[in-house]
Amino acid sequence: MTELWLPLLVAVGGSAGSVCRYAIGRLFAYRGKAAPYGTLTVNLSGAALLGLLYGMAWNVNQPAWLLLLGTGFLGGYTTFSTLMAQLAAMRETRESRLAAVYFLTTLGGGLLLTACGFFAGLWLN
Amino acid sequence: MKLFAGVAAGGAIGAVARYGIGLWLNPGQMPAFPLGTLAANVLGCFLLGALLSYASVRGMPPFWKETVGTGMIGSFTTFSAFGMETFGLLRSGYAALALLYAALSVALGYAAARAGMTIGRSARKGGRSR
Repeated sequence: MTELWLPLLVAVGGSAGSVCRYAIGRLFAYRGKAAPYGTLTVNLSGAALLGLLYGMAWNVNQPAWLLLLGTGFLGGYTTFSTLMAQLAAMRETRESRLAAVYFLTTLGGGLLLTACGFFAGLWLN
Repeated sequence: MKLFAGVAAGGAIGAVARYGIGLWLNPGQMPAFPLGTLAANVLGCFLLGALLSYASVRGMPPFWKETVGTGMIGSFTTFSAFGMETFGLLRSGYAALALLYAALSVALGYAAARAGMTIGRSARKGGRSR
């Protein structure tokens, strides 16, 4: 698994995923929504989709498409650093209620959707 | 359009860097501690906190802010893999390890973002004044 084209798959996927995340963020900003909506949308949908992919790839030995779509696309599509930077910024502006709701929705919803996606993927497998 | 190109280029670099750290530090088998993802996420939180606060204090062209912040660092860190790994640990019966992984990711990531913000903001002092 050390062939040169494997990182290339990750690069192509990560590039596309990042652009989608950026576009969704711009869309929410354009519609006048506050900053966390875009990040929440990509993280929750990305969590569900990665669960789905892992379910579908279950018992398949490290398929290349999982590297392209999972590690690359969905890894680039979702983000952890923006979430934490937003939470830290909310603390500085004393929006602790918003921060708590945002954090719990992302974490709880993310885990739940990962599980739902995974079992749906197993069913499709 | 230029901003999208920057995010695309940065996203490719960030994803490959995360992949590399994962190959290095993540265990091959699923039910084990995903140190690589944790390292990428915590490091990325620090870097993004530093970049954003530096940009807000000193100013930064939108192209570089989006290319490095949204593209490179955003893609370097990941929420989907974090969720999948936590779920994988839970499903394999490693509840304590899952809890430890989630708690460490959140606590260290948040602390790193705050530390980065403090350092990025300190660029005002000692640096050239605008």
